Amino acid sequence: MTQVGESASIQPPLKPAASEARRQIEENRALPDEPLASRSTSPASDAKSHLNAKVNAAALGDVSQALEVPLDLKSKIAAIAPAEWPKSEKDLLSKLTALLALTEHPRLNEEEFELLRDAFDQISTMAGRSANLITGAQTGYWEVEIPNLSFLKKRQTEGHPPIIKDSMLEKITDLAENLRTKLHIAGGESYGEVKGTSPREKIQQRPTRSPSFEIHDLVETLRHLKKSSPTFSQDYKALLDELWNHYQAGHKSTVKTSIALLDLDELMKQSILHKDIKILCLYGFEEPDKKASLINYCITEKPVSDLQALLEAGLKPQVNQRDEEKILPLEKAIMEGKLTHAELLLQSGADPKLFNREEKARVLEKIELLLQAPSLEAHQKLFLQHLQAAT
Amino acid sequence: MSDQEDLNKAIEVSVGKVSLAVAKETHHPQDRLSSPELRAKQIEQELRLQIKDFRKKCVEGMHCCSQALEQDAIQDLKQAFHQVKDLLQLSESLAKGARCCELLGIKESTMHSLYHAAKALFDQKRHEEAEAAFTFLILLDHGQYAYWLGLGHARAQTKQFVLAIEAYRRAQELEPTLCWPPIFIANCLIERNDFVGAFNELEEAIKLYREDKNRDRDMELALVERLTFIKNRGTL
Repeated sequence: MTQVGESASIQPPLKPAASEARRQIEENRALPDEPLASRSTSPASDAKSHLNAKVNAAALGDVSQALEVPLDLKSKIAAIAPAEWPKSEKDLLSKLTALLALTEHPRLNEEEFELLRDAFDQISTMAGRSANLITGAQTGYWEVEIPNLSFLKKRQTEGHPPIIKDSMLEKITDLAENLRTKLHIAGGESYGEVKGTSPREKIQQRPTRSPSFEIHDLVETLRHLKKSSPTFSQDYKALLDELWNHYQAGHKSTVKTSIALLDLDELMKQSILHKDIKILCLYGFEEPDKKASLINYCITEKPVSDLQALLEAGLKPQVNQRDEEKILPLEKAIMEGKLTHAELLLQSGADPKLFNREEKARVLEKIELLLQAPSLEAHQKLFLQHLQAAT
Repeated sequence: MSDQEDLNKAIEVSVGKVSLAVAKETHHPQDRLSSPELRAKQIEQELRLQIKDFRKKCVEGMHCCSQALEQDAIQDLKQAFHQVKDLLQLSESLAKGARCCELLGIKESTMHSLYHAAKALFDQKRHEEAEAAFTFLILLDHGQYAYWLGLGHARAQTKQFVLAIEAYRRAQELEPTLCWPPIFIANCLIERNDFVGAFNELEEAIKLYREDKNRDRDMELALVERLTFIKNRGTL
């Protein structure tokens, strides 16, 4: 065998080799365009080969299991898009990495591209919320909303560092930035800093974007509007109408998640004036007790015309529904001494027989008191007597 | 899957046996600081990690390849893997030298599509994914020169030179008349500063190339030039 250094002197002077040949030799990149004919190998003879065979069989089992999951792109995107908030920064990181990998798919079509954008938007919104909640938990502010509160509290009492580590946050931000570029999504703009142009105009000036980004814009505008104008106005209504259109168009989860980020409670109550029940549904007031809460709010704070509008807008079925504090609207109206409200509720189907023993006692006592009032008009007295009999 | 559990247990037993055998084989009687049993424990641990990594890469590779597959190829793959039931019996067939793609009845066109998907990953410089893809391909057919070569390339690009050399050696076993595996092994050895080894490999490559009827003058010249380069580096 020739040793290094031996044959240097016997080599003839070399002329430079063709660069292509040199490149082929120096770079480990040459692969046949088509695979060659497969060769058969001899049967395993030693223990190591038997082990290899077993490991191969196990790997086949693993692949077989993995193949049970759908492999088409839409299913993959759906699998990544979260049904709940990312549980940890690792979970978030893996979701973003998986999305990034899908953007490289060689046969990504328009529809799938849009789905990817939606999924990314949904993940970032949820991640943002998670991050807020996790940070909020450390100040004990978000207690009610955190799903895994006990875990966070345990961490807090044990003096653990913040859940999202800086290094992880950096990775997450990088990944998100990369995805934004790949999916052609513009970075977030601070609407508060836009001078001379209203946020609405600013949005309208932008080129057409994906629905998810539109939703994001609308919510950002709402956030800005809420800061500058705390009372409900037509502007709110227009924005919420647009959000409702997106909601109807099938982007339900994105709309609901985005809008849940805004604390619009007070605003929603004010929106009763606009008789717009769809806005309430948008905000998540789909549960009967929440709707009943709105009726009760209206009884306390609003004139009877507003209550009528609210009931006509679609809340009639909730007149016999207890609110989040387990109070029936009719009891609320009587206890507040709002007799016209109570009358309207009875006309709308409120049932006085639904009071339990304690409620009944309270209501009857209140009716007695009201009947003794000197300013009571004749028809009101009649109504109270009728109510007394019915209760 | 109870079958999978049985197989995992069988693997555990085999890992123990193989580790002890290797430890005994490689133990020097003069080595008093270590015993074959202790060494066997270390080998056992390494083997377990390798097996875990291999199994993970096979699944990853399947996912990487399937991204570029047409629907009919995916269906074929799914149908083939749907037959994977008795893993212990499958391992026995594999030990007799059978190839998975034949056992499962995967179509040749699907295998071609898988290869092209893996090659595309490598060409796009997505080397880690390409490594997983070629690992999966090798699981399906270990008798294919191009798959081992691809695995070697992907590993070399991710600086896993020892593993790359292992892959190239398997490619060389399958196509002993081709000069490319020793050339690529030499490249890996250069990276590991093993110039003597690299020189020998390249000499072997030149010998094989000169036996090739379709040899090209430029290529031969480039090989000799490379040999001189290694020789000069080795004498430094």
